Order: sequence, then C-alpha cells, then structure tokens
Amino acid sequence: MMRIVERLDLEEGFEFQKAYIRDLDGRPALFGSFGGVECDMETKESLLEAGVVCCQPVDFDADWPLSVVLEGVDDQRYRINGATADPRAVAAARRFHELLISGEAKPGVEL
Amino acid sequence: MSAEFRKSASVPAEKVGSRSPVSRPLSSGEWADIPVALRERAFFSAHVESARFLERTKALLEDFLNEAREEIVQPDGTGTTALKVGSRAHFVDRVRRFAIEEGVPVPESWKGSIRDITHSSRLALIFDIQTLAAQEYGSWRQGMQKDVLNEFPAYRFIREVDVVQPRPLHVQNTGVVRLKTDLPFWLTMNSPTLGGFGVPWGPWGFGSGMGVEDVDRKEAEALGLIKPGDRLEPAEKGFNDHLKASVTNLSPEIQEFLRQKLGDSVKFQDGAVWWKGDRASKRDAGVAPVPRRKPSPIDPNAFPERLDILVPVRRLGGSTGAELVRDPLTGQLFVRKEGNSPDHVREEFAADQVYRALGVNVPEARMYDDGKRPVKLARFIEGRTLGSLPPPEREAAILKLRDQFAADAWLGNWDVAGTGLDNVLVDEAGTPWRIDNGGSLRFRAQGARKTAEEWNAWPTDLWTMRDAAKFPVPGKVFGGMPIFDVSKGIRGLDGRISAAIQAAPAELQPVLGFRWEQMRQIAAKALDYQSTQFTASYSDEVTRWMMELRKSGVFDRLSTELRQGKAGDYVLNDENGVPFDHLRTQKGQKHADPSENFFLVVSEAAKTINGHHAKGDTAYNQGKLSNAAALAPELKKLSASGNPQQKAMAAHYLGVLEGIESAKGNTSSKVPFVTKFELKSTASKAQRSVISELADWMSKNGGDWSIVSQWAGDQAGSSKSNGSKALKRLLLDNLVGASESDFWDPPAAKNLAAMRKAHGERYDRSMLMFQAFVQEVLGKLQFPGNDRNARSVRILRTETNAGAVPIPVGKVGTYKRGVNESGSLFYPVFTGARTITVVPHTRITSLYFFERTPGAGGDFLLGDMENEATYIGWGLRVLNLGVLPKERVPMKIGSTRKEWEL
Repeated sequence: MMRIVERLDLEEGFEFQKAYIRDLDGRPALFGSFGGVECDMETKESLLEAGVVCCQPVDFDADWPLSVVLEGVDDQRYRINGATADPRAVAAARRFHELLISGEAKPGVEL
Repeated sequence: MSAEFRKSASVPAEKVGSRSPVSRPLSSGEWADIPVALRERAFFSAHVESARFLERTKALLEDFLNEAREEIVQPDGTGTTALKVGSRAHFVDRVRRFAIEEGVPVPESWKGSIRDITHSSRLALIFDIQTLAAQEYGSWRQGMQKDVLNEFPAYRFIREVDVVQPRPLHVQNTGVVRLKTDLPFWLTMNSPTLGGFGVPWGPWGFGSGMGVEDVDRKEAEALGLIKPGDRLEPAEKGFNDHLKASVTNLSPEIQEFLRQKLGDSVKFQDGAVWWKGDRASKRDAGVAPVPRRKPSPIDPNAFPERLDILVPVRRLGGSTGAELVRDPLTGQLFVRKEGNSPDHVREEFAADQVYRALGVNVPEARMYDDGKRPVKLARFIEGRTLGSLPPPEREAAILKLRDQFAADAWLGNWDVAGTGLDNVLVDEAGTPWRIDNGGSLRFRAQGARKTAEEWNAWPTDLWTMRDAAKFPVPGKVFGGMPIFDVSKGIRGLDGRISAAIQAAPAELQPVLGFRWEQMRQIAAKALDYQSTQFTASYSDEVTRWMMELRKSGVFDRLSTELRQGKAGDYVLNDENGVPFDHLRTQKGQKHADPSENFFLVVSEAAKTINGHHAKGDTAYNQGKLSNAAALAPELKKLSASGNPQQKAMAAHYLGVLEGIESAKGNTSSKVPFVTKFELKSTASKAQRSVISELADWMSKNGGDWSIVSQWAGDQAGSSKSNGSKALKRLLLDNLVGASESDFWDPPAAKNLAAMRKAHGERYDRSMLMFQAFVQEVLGKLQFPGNDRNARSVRILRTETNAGAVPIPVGKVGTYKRGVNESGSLFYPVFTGARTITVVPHTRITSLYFFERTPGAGGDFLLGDMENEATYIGWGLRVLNLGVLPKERVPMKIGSTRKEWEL
C-alpha cells in the first residue's frame, strides 16, 4: 500500500473542475477538466487505493505542473507526473472504475 | 657442332646409321604424310630415287659425325690422315660432286632451285637438319644411359635463341622441368601440330629457338619428380616399343613401298605398322609383357615443392609485396606473399584456410617456410577487380559478397574489399574471390596488430564493417546491408562452422568459437525481430547494443536465475536469497543519489513556470520556486569545492536555476527542458548494481539512463503520459505493416517529437540501449514464465473493462490493444477480465526487476506488487480467462512454453 507524502498538484488555475466519460477508440474512458485543460484520467487501482488519479493533458504544449509523490512499502518514493490527489477527482475516478468493472460506464455521463 | 660435343657423343651417327636409306620419288608433302615413326626409320630426301646416292650421303654424314679420318697424300708427297668430312662445306662439296658423278637426275625446271639435289643450298639444308637432329638425338640417347639418367633425371625446357614468333606452347612451358622419361610431355613440345618433328628430342621444330638443359637429381627430387632411391629406366626402349604408326591414310602403293623398304624390321597389321620388339609383336609371339613402372605423373594442378624454382612474372602492388610468379614445372601462376611479418602472413594464411572451410571462394594457398621467412603461395585467379567492373556487374558481385559477409565479420576482415575494391576479383562466371585477407583476425591489412579493442571475442565487426561512415572501405560493399540478411548469412554458414574452426590455428580456435556463438545468438535475435515484424533498422540497433553490452561487462555480476519462493511471489531471489540478484543495489550497499533531489526540485520549479506561461499567467507555485532557489547555496558550494563530478552536476542545476530566474515573469519565455544529471557511481565494482553499470555504460556510449528512468516514472503513473506515449510511438514506427488503426488509443507522432526535441538523438539511442538490455536480461536470466529456449514469456493482463476483450471466455483470439501495454508476470493485479498472452522476447519492452535510480535499490515501475512487464501485444493471440478472482488464475507456470501454451 502506497501513501501520499507530497502533493505537487496544488497549482492555481489548474484545479480540478469536472470529470466525464467519453468514448475513446470504441471504449469508455474517463476524462476531466483541470483549469480548462482536458485531461485523460487513467484509473490505476494501486494509485486509486493511495488516493491518487492520473491526469494527462490531451493537448497541452508545455510541462504539465501537476504531480504527486508517493511512498511505497519499502520506503521508496515515487514521483507520479501528471497526477492529482484532489479528493473530488479521485472520487470521480473511483466511481468510474466501479462502473467500468460492472460494465455500466457509458460515454456522455458526467461524474 | 662443337668439337667437345663430337668427342663426347658416340651416338649421333647411330641415328643416321640406323636409318634405312629410302629412295622414292616422294615429295616433301608426301613424306610429311608418312607417320613420324616411319620417317624416323628412313633416311630420305624428297624426290631422290637413287638409293646409291642416298647411301653415299648417309655415309658422309656418318663420317662427319664419327669424325672418321682417312689417309691422304699431302702436296709434298708425305702421307697423313685427315677428317673425311670436316665441315658442312666439305660435306656439300663432296655430295655435290658425287651426285654429278653419279648422274642423279634433276629435272631441268628444278635446276638451281632448292629442289635441285645437287644445289648447295639443298645439300646444306640436308646437312643441317640431319646433323642437328643427330646431335639432339645423341644428347637424348646419352641422357638416357642408365647412370646418366639417374644422375640427371630431368630436362628443363629452355629458350636458347630469341625468335620473332615463339610458339605459345613453348612460351607457356619455358622453364618447365620434366623427367626425361616423360615422353608425352616432350612429344607434346615437339608435336607436328606445332610444326615440330614428332620426337621427344630436338630440334623442337624449325626456328623454335628452344632447347633443353640437364636437371640434376637433387633438384628433381626437390620438385617431386622423383623420390629418393627411385631408379628410372631409360625411355628409349619404351619409346620404340610404343612406336606404332598408323598407315591407314597412306595409299596402298606407298604402304607397299614402305613394306618393301622397311619390311624386315616391321610388321604391318590392322592398319598400323609395328616395330620389332614392340608389345604387339611380343604378344603375337606369346611373350608376356614385362610390366614397367611408370614415372610418377605430375599433377598439373599441384603446388610447387620449392619456391626457388618459381619464375617472377610481375609485382602486384600493395603494401605487403605480393608478386605474381609462375611454376616452370606446371606453368601455373601463383601469388607469392610474405606479408609485413612472418606472423602477419601466417595469419592471412589461417584466414584463407578458414574461409575455404566455410565454402567461401578464396584462392587455394600453401605456406612455405624456408627457415627465414614464411611465404604464402596462392593460386592466381584470373578476373577483374571489383572496382573495375561496370556498375551492374559490380552490384551483382557485391550481392554475392554479401551472402558471405558473416564470414568476413567473423574473421574481422576489415580490408576484405580493399581500398580500391581491388581485394576482390570477379571471375568470368561472375564469382567473387577474396584474394587478400591480410586484414583478418589479429592483424590489420598493412601488418600492424589489432588492439584488444579491435580483435576480441565480441564480433562487433558485424556492425562496424557495415558502417560506411566509420569504415568506408568495407562499407562500400556491406554498407546498408540489413541485419536480417546478415543473420541469414550467419545461419547459412552455421553448418560449416565446426570445420572452419578446426581449420584455424589452435590458439585462435577458442576465440573463433566464442565469436561464432555470439553471432549465432545475434542472428537468432535479429530473425526473431523480423518474424515479430520489427523493422531492420530497429533490430539492427538493438542487436548492436546487445553485443556492445556483452562486451562491456555490464552483466558480470548477474546471476543466471531468479527463483520464486512460492507460486505468485513477485519478489524473486537469486541462488543466495538476494532479491533480484544484482539488478538492484542491495541493502547495505545503497547510496544516495544527490542529483536525484536536485533534479526533482528544480524540475518542479521549471514545470510551474512553463505550465503557467502556457496558460498565459504568472500564478506560479511559489513553494516550488522557493524550494528550488534554496538549493542555490549548496550548488554553489559544490561548484566551488566539490569533486569534478559534483562541480559538473552543480553547474548543470545552477544553469537550470538561471533559466528559471530568466523566464520568470515573462509569459512568452520558457525554461528549457530539464534533464537529470547522472552522477557516476563511486561504489566499488563489488557493490555496484547491474543497473549502475548499465547507466555508466550508457553515458559512455552516448546514451542517458535518466531518459529511461524518466520513462519508467511516467509509465508507473500512466501509460498515457507523454513519456509512455513517446516510447509507444517509437515502437509503432518500427513495426512493419502496423498503422495507428491497429492499436487502441494510438500515440501521436508529436509525443515522440517532443522527446526527441528535448533529448536530441540521445532519446532514441537511450531507449534502444534499454531495449537491448531487456533482451539480454531475458536471455540470460531464468525465471518462472520465461522460456529462454523458446524465447517467450507468459504475460497476464487484466482488462478492467471486460468488454474490451471480444473473445469468448476460454477461447483464444486477438483484439485491439495499446502499442505498449502493461502486464504481470506472476500473478494478476487489478480487477477485470484475465487474459494470458505468450509474448516473444522481442515484444517485451521492460521488466520490473530493475531499479529506477542507480544505486538507490528501489523499484523500477510503480511497485513490485504489480510485477509489471510492458509488451507489444499487436497480433499476438490471447487466451481469455474471463473475469476471475486473482486466486483462480493459474500461477504455477513453470519455465517451458509447453506448460503455458495457449
């Protein structure tokens, strides 16, 4: 079990705004808006368990300033680039993950 | 004729004396039709019917040859003796007077011409021919005397007089040495087809200018013509025994005439005439033939036994003194070469032998060692140099050379083509011959020894010799040759490799054996890449780095096996119970990486600047900026008083801080891409991890471990990160026949472009170095689910969205996946549909066994519990196990593909 040791995702103007399900190449995928920048929110179980969700900008021609530092079971630290620990974003991601497992994730749904 | 000859020769007169005077009005042409064997038995002159005249002429010649003397009365009345015939003029005078006295008829129209037997020119010609023939025959007979024959058993065919138009066969055989008893050879030299006289002695045709000289037994033995102790039998009798002349073409009238004139000593039978004493007669008489020992025949293709008999023809140029020579015994041409040193020429000879054992066209060669300096003698190949061929022919020859490039690389024959493409000759059939292999093995072409870096157990020549930029000469021939063709060439030669190694000197055999094994493995890997649809250029680079890695010693501390405590365990131990063996730095040996913290802090500061500038504001995260600024004093201190590495690192990060300060407040500016400065490990070799070694090796070879490390960090978080997508794109671009539509959520070209822009050519190089490393680990390290013989790994993957796997549960099929997906090696993670894929090694792109930060000893990807491997599943079959609890997924996997074959 990993835990958050440093939040580097607290950037003014890059805050989480909303999350929604979109069709990506024929499959439902979670996207979100962070300060008006659309991000692909991949939901990796081990990160969700740690309270983190990824947010990779779809089209942003610069360094993306959101990241989180985690610590693993062996005290090793991992900086996860393009990630946020924003509770609302993580909650939306967990919900999407459940819908995906149950087969109920439908494009067009906002979470 | 010299007096010395006349005194020593007792036999010439016999030649004339033994002939039967034959008077018959035959013309010269008619006499020419008479077989040689018969003519040799007849003393004749064309159109002379007077036997008495011929008898007298013959007697005078005998007198001359015998130095017969007669009593004469001098003008003062005293008696004395004088030569009966003392000179040619004397002979002509006496015969002429006799002919006139005798009334030998001469047609009116012939008088004064060469056809006039009384004419001095005609008689002079008779004298010349008869005496010269007698002289030569005398020499031959003398040479055939048993004692003489065994003391001087051979003749050397020589030119005595330069002539305007030498006969080609005589030119070809000038200097040739053959046994006197080798009648077929000498008869060939005097063949009537060349205008010769059809006898095994001279003269060798009118105006031939040729002669013979004795060759003593020592030389003949040295030439292999006769063995010590062997005794030769005179061939004269044999020659006569074999005198069977065909008379089938002669008219019955002339046959009858010859029968009358020669009848007592011959037998006419079955269209041929046999001389008394011949085998046929003996057979007819019921006498069993006496078997005769034949002289050892000379193999016309044999190499000479000695070098000092070779006749130089011309220098062939080059730096090592190659010279074209001819063997006078056989007429064959050879290339004589001493190299720049004895060891150099011996090495070249060794290379030749190995090439030939491989079936590669190299002129046959022999080594000669006279105790002073070894000499290589190679057969001369008629052909044109590769460089002199017109382009179409040259290209065709190059293609043939490429078929056997593996042999050149194996032997490190850098100069195989030659600077002017003159080390390859192409014969009339278009077959290329490697004629100068002096740049092979431990030597350079001009004789200098290669360094340990240049010649060793690692055949990096497979790449360097195809690199036209670095090695222009072989590059002209092999440049651009795809690794797949190289690999097929290796496979093509594999069946002959044992024999080829055996053909090498003993001290070279181990290294050659090792080099070939390396090549065999590289070929297998490259062909695996081809069959799994990678481009040749990608496969070439990865295999090149594999070989360089082997050579580097990066794997010196790597174990051969990682073991599971029980099925499903993801922390694997080596035979000593050490987790992940030396792939990671072990506890107690970990050392902090000062650069890591500097990098994390300054890169965060750069990201907040660049991120906000991209949005057009300056609302930076001040905490990140102040953290970065706080590093400045420490960095300045290191810059002033640290060791050279620390100074370099400090300069690197201080430069980033300057960039941050410079960009701050100006939304149109940007902090340049921040890279991590890789500090070289100061740990001792015994403490360093394999990854530490790898990072250093990459740095030395133009790569950068931090690029790999950054990718691992990105991949750990999301396969949709920029770093992940950049590698995906690199892989996609190197899959033959693949298009974006073949993959789920394909990466954009801009992701890769961004990485290339940030890192330059180091990006591709680093990622391909890493791929080579992964392949080497898979090949060297046994672990459950890895079949090293089948070069495959079992991968478990869970699709959270079960609907993404359109394959019925329990069935095998394919489905659209991402370019470079994550899977698990030992037990499934996450929740969803379980799948199993058998993945060829070449499609595995990373393993979680490594450490992300050299020396830190930590995980490589997100965490060991994910037991992650990344792979390219494109086109690979998948077994859909359905949505199962983790515990129901088979985890006892064994290490052979059969155990988990789909």
